[in-house]
Amino acid sequence: MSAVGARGLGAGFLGILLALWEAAARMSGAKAALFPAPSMVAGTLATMIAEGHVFVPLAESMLRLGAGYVAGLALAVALGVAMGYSRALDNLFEPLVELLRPIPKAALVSPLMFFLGIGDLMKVTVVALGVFFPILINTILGVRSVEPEFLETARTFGIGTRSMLAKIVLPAASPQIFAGMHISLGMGFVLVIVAEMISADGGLGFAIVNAQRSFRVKEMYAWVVVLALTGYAMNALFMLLRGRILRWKRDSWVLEETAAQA
Amino acid sequence: MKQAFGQAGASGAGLVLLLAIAWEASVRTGWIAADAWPAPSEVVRLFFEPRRLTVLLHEAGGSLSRMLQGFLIGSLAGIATGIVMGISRRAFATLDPSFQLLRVIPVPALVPPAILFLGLDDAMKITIVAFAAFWPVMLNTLHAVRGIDEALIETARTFKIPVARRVRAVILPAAAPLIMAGLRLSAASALITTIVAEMIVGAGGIGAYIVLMEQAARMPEVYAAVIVLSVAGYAINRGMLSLERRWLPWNAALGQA
Amino acid sequence: MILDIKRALLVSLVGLGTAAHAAEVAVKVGVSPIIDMAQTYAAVGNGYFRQEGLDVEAIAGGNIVALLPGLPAGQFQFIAAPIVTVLQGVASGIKFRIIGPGSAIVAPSPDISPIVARADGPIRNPKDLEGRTLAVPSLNGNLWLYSRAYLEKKGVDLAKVRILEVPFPQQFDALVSGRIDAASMTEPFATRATESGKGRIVGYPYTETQPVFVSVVLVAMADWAQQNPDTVRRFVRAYLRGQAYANLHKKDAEGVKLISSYTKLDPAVVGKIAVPDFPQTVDIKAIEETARLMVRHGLLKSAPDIKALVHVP
Repeated sequence: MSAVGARGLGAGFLGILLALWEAAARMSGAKAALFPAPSMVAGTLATMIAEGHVFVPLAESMLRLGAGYVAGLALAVALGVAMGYSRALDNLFEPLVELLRPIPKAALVSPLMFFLGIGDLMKVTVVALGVFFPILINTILGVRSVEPEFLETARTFGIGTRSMLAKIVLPAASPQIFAGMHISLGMGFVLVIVAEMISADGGLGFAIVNAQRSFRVKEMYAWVVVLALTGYAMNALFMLLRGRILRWKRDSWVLEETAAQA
Repeated sequence: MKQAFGQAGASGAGLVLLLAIAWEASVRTGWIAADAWPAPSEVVRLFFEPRRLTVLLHEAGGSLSRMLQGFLIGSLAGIATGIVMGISRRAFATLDPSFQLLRVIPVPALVPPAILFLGLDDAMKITIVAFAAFWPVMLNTLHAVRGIDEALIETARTFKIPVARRVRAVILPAAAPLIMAGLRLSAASALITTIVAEMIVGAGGIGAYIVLMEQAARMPEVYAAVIVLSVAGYAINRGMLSLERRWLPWNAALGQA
Repeated sequence: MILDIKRALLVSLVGLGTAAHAAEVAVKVGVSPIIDMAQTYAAVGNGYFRQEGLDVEAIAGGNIVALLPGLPAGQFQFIAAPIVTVLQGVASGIKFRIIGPGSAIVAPSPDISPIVARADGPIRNPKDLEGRTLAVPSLNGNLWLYSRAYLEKKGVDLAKVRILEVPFPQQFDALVSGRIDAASMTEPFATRATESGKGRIVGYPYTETQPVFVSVVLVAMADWAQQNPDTVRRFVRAYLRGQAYANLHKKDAEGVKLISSYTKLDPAVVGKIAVPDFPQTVDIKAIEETARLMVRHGLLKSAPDIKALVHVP
């Protein structure tokens, strides 16, 4: 299937969704004031971009996300490899991790604000905490899936633990780690928005909540569109990087293609 | 399994206990003095007051019921979609762009249109929970199916095994570990989303309880509710892990001998 | 003749019976478990709605502003909402109508929302806030507007005051830890702050700016209210009885019991805190003043015709 064909399918489906939105908005009668059609939202969005209101909040959110993501990723991979490899470490940390994981950050607003303040540190930490868990779980899984023979062979060759972890285990676990990173990207983005909604201080989250409270409905939906487009762009970038980094791992589609040619 | 429990129980529980003691000490010594940081002893005491305990458990029950319904709907849809998108390039190309746009919309932004069309009660919350639970398991399933060992797929093709059978006998078992991990993530997402939705709208559930107590300046109650959430999430995760062990005994990733 | 009378009595009894049955109307009202909603909880709890033949279901939410879109969406028929949000909704084309009063903040001070600074800090009066940070619970909300109006009235240069958003429950900790220099609080947090010895009251943005501030109003949608005048009348009657009850028992044991039952505030705390007023009528002049301030501080482009918004059933 060609790239153009793929784009066509994707655009087609998206078009159908937009048409459904437009129809629902037009038919919603009395609710129309609260549920603008995409055609109206597009107009508001264009104005917002033209007047330069979009860039700063977007940049603020992206910076916070970036910082939190990197922090969460580093911590999760480090701890994940350790916990995946060492039963003792896993036994030590697993209960704590599993007790903390279910807690929604929104429920912890009070201690978070007390310890971390109401500014960027709090938001970045919230993002890091959210990004941490999916990557951790998937990393542990990935590390444990490594064939024991690989490790045995490595040990036979006298390769030290640290080298082994870095050069054999990590690459072997990378598909799973990337799956975790993929999930965390979406989650981190959601969290930065939520953090900005709670501690309103710039960013896309505040823009949405501000429009919501003042009943500037078209503007609110325009911001949600900005959100969605940004998420899409980030995802596209991520998949590009994943393709480059995991190039050595052929996936089932490539096999589909080669099989088709055979 | 008993061995794994026992071992994990010992050092892990020890760590949690140590941290709890440190927390208590930080309050008793006055080192950290804030409304937001009550002593754990004050919080734990609430669990021994029958009336409060009843209220907490009642609200927890409501939340868990909503969460479960949303989780089941969302995760079943997620697995099915993930498999389809993982196998078929076309399906992926069709659905993925829209998905990438939708997946990042946070719950607070979803609530207004949800209120408009679905009302303010359980149906609305369950729908939002299903929406949130869909993503982690769908993504993991997708990645799992795509990442399946080439040898397996080649073999299946060589033997000309039809798609349905290929899915059941080859793809699902191979993808199962990652799918199960995705389910655990979706369960967590479902619980969190339920609570957040309840914090925004509604009179029932732990989320509404937390907001009510915060506004009444009763932080120990807030922490008690958080502990309930924490324990519930922990129990759900443990439950799912033991199911995994039973269904996927060959899964070395779970560290069973 | 007697037969005629009997027949007439019978017919009228049956008529009354069916009328009474047909009179049971089901409506929903949006609420939030805060002090300002005491009248609604009282009206439900004391059976005022039932006595008017109304079967009222309360739809609750943690945050009234988040709940408000449910009204135009038809998810409920009545809600008591903050005036600033209602007026902004009207400006966005949402046809709210004010059909009754809610809570009002009435002079003299003290009232329920003081600006509190650190007791051991440098801020003693409003002018000291220049170059400092003030927290409000919600940017562009009731208290944001009146904090600004108050500071302006006291000759403070607003450009020099940094106003941040910190939700009520987190304000005290943020104040004490120095992250903010002052906060526009509400009860019970304000009383807790002063009682702890760590908070000092700087002023009262509502009552020191305006003698009567209509904080919350009862609203319904214009079309629905026009199509259901009888229901609206009955609801408002029962609701106003609730207002009277809440106002009468503001500080006594009954009122404390009511308020602490639904807010879950400790009864001892309820006895100590300030509570708002629950008037019987809508003070149009006061609302017009609020609208004027909203225009001045950029929340509205122009003040709407308040009289036209008030829909007396």
